[in-house]
Amino acid sequence: MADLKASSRAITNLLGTRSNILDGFIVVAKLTVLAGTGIIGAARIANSPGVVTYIAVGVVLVAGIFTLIAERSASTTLAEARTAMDIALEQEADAQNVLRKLEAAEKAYNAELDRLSHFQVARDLVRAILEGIATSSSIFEENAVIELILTQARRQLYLAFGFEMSDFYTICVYERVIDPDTGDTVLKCRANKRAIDCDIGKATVWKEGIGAAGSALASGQEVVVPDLSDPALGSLYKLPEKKTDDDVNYRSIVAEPIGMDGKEKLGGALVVTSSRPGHFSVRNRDYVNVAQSLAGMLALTVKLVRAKRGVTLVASHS
Amino acid sequence: MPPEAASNGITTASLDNELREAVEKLMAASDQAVKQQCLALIQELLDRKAALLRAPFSEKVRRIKEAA
Repeated sequence: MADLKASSRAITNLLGTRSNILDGFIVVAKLTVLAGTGIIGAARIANSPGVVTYIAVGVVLVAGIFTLIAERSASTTLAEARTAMDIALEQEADAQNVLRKLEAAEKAYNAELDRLSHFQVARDLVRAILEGIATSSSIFEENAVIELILTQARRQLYLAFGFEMSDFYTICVYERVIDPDTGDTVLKCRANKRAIDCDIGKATVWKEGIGAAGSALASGQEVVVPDLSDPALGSLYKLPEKKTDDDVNYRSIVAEPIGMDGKEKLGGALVVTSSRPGHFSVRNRDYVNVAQSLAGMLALTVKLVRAKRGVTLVASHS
Repeated sequence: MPPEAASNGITTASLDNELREAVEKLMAASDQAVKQQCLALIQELLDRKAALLRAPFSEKVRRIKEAA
């Protein structure tokens, strides 16, 4: 912007100073030509070309040449002014471009600030709940506490995960249990928040090693699936029995094991999904980190609740 | 600008205390109406704290823009 102002000032000065001086000289020169022509004309009428006539011819000649030069100089000045104006316009366009980028950066910064502040208060809420559990003489039911966390921090988590109105999202907390019929280790949904709430009993039960949730449980490692429809994935994390909208609703997934003391003591898994492909990504871990942190807080919650009940953090029978 | 200045003397620490008290009250409550009051208060406290956390950063941006 400073360059633009300097250019504008330069153009103004250039046009102002040079045109004023030149205009003055050109007017004088033209008047001289006029006067000389008049004298020559008068001498011709009088038919007595004398010294004055010859001087007038000389002056007219010099003034004519000067006028030619001065007008050429004025054209040059105009061309220079146009060039300067073009440069100024280019600089103005550049400045506008930079301004637009700055505005976009400010918007992104504010959005990120908003997201992180909401995530921070969600963590503050969990901390307050943990303190409440720790200092209370009451015994709490872990599913109720997890439900309380998800319900009370729903809006903050929604913002922290970067979800938008058009997204279909789910935040599900699964508990590791032993299926009494088969003896298999499975993940059962204990609390969830979704774009469209549904009966928790209808949530998919994941076998250990199946799907993103089951894989996270089996490996004890985080599983990030940026796009479930990526042909490179094949059927690795896909459900054998799909519902109609599953392909659209569950495009991007992060599954975090819930546990603090290694695979043997995993209590379950946190699974967060989005209908937006690439929402969860390994390269940009903004939202994955939120899931990881939330899983850590849930693990701490479960551990504290169970410790108060005198139950260890291992799979229970459903 | 320190957070207190942006919020009439309310600090993040004082909001944390209020939050803790509201959560304790919620966990001890058996009456549904009291629970609802606590839930509403907690939500309000979370919103206020989020705004308070953002305030100093927004102020910095405003100053940078002014200086530019």
